[in-house]
Amino acid sequence: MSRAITADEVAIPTGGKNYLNAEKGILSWLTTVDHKRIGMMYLASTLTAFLLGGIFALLLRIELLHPGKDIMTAPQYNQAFTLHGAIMVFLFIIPSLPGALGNFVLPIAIGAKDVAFPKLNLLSLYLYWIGAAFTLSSLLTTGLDTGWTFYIPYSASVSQTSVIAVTFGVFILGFSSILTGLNFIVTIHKLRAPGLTWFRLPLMLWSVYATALIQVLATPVLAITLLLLIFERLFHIGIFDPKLGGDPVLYQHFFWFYSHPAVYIMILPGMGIVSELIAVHSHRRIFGYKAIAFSSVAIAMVGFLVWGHHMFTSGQSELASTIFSFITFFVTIPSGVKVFNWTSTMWKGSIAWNAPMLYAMSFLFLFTIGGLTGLFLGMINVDLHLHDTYFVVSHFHYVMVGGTVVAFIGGLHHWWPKMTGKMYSDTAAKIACAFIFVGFNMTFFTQFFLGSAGMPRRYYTYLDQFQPLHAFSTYGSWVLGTGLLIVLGTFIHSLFRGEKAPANPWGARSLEWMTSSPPPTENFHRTPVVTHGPYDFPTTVDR
Amino acid sequence: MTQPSTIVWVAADGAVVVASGAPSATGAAPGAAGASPAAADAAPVDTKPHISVESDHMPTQSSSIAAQTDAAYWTAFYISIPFFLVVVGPMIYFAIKYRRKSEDEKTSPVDHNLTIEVAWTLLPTILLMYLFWIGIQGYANAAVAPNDSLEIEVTAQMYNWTFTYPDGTVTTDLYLPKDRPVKLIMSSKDVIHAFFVPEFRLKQDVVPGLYTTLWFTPTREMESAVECAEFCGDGHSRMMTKVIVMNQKGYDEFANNGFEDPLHPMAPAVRGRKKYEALCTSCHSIDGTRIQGPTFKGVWGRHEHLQDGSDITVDENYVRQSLMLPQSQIVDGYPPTMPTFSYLKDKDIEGIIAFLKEQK
Repeated sequence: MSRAITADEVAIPTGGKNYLNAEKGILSWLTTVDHKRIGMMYLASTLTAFLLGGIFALLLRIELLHPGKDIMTAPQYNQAFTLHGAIMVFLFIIPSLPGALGNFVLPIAIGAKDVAFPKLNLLSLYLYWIGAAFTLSSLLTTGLDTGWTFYIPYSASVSQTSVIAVTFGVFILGFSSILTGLNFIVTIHKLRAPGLTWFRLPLMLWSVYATALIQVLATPVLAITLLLLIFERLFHIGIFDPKLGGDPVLYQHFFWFYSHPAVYIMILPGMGIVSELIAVHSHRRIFGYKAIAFSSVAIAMVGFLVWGHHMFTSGQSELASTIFSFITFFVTIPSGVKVFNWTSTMWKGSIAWNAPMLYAMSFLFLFTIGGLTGLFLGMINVDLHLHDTYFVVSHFHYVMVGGTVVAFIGGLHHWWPKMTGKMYSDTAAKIACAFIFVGFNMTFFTQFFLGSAGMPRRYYTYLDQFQPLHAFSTYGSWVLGTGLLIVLGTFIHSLFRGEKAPANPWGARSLEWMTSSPPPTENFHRTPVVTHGPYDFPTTVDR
Repeated sequence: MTQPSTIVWVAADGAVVVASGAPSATGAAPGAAGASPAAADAAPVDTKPHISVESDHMPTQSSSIAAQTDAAYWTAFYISIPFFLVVVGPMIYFAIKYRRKSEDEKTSPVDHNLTIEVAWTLLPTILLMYLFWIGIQGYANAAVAPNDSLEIEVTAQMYNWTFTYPDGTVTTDLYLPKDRPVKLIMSSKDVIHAFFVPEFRLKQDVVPGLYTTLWFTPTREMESAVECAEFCGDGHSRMMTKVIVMNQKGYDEFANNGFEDPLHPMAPAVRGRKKYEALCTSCHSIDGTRIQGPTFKGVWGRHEHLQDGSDITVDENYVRQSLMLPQSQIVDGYPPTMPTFSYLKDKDIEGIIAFLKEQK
């Protein structure tokens, strides 16, 4: 029982069989209940959505090179920013981290054969596809021009676009998210390997667990809200539209009651990934394990109580705004604690200068800026000036892209050898990371200045005086896009030409590295017994 | 500090229009008052006024609350800088100092330290509460308007702003006196908009079915932009107008003159069109459509049969009577719902008459 397991013990040679080549044919993928295959299908699907949303982003930036028309008209621009937001939020960021990385890593990292409900897991993926089909059907019909927030009354009675198709798609996507969350909660509770206590869980799993709690508790509210919106648009039932006797501010409360916790659905898995990257690539015990673990849960809980900070200018009561501002400052504390712990983990570590670590450090840099600029927006009087300007656009891109997406790409580089059994060119990956880091800052740091100077968001044309900054931001988006293309090229090259990956290329200590790369269908041939924590690296002092 | 003398506005169809912008305090004929995007497309010349925001980093402080807002902004900034350096500085230092030299390096076993963890939880908490407190103080000052505020009604509609002053005058630019508290009482006729003047550091959603308010004291004579900050449709980015702050004496004279520059008087028909667009459009069309009241298309000289059985011809006296005592001359077949406009000045009425004569 007190014997440490090794990769050789659990990963008995399988005669070349692994989850990728165990069965062949497209049908074997579509009917699989293997969490790894489902994870890979999520990965392919969400990356396709990322590409699509990214193309919209680049088109938006080109349009904003000059005031007035560059490549599209005002209605086309409104559709482009709406679809950029909706695709990135609902089809990429929310499903990608739990769906792709969570699905692949979670069961292996707890020493299980699969998630608790494998068929439900496949249903989640199918619901994702169906929801995506509804959402993207708008591209072939009349598009969508409401903004991803679907504010009423514009979305209920004015917009001539496919509001119902998209909101119904998002409604279905919500069920996919709920079922995934449910599955992960049960899996973590019931299927941990012998010896894998809660405090021996890799921190990634604490994050995924906290995320799953939010998915299960918050998403139904979005589903109900969107259903009410559909009823209002179809049957003219007055709930939110003042013309029908409704209250448009109520819609905003409902919407943000989900969509603020959804911000944590997006960022928490990113924080989990970064905890892994920093500890593993520093070969060091993580600093403040419990603080990081509990701060994830704290964020998930307190995150439910701050939605009103999106509404300081909405017409909600002054008292409500004051309370929301107060709680908002509290929800930043657990994030701050994490950041300090991550930096401390690098102290007296053995830091590999490889792509995953470079992404982790980029995350720390960018997420810190994203978090600190949130302080400006949490102060009500400053928010009265900055709300709905480019300052906000920049702030949430620093958190969502500089934070979550950078962590996601870093995580992909970290688990890629495990997923595919192939190594990639670390040099190319580091060059890509540099492009992304520089391009991202060019694009979005500029926008803090635009916002402070009074440039509202969602503007097709704008005052002449903002043109130089807009142009600089657009040039940055090209650098950022180039970086992402290099990432894609690196991975494609790896698939075809990559060296075979060893079971544990990073010298990591958690369970997913104790099986072969790629793992066999059943993950482990023998149930592993865990006798140490996930970050028990050799230390200078024997413990 | 840029104040370009010309501004390029671009119609929704992409046609670039350069309006030479001798900025005039009259705000003469601002673009057929907002109109629909379709109308703006059709108009060969976009007559939106010259607008810019005076700004280096933050726009020039121009309201009673702006200084406090900026102080809060910079407090957050100067608290953020050391936080950022404390995170990123050591990160870079450690990455260089502890760069891996061999694969079997051993690392520090230290994985917690209660003192330091309590410190980096409590210290930020104190600073965050301080920021909250500053934010609330500024917000409290922006929340309750003094009793003697000048009350102006703001109406937002896709995609234009109208401002109604205590004497009933309606303008499409916002005129304010310097150093006098102003309270804006705002409502929307269609979707949610937001009133935003960067120099004032103020923003408030304008919501249908709800009155929202803003108050502030303008502190600087200036001319700048009112921007719509809540996405409201195809014309959202063009839903801008001018805000003009004048000294109290100039403002009083200007207000007494119906917000019109005596040196550059408007053509009567133009003034009449502005009044029509501000006051009459919801009941009277100019394209022949029947709404609440009779259409103005071809109204001049028309013979009408009234409810009381008499017949009249639409002429100057009929128009004046209809504005002053509308219930006395209701056209047969229409509801007697027209409100009284007895506050209109003589030259406004003359303007409306001139405007009606043009509706062939």
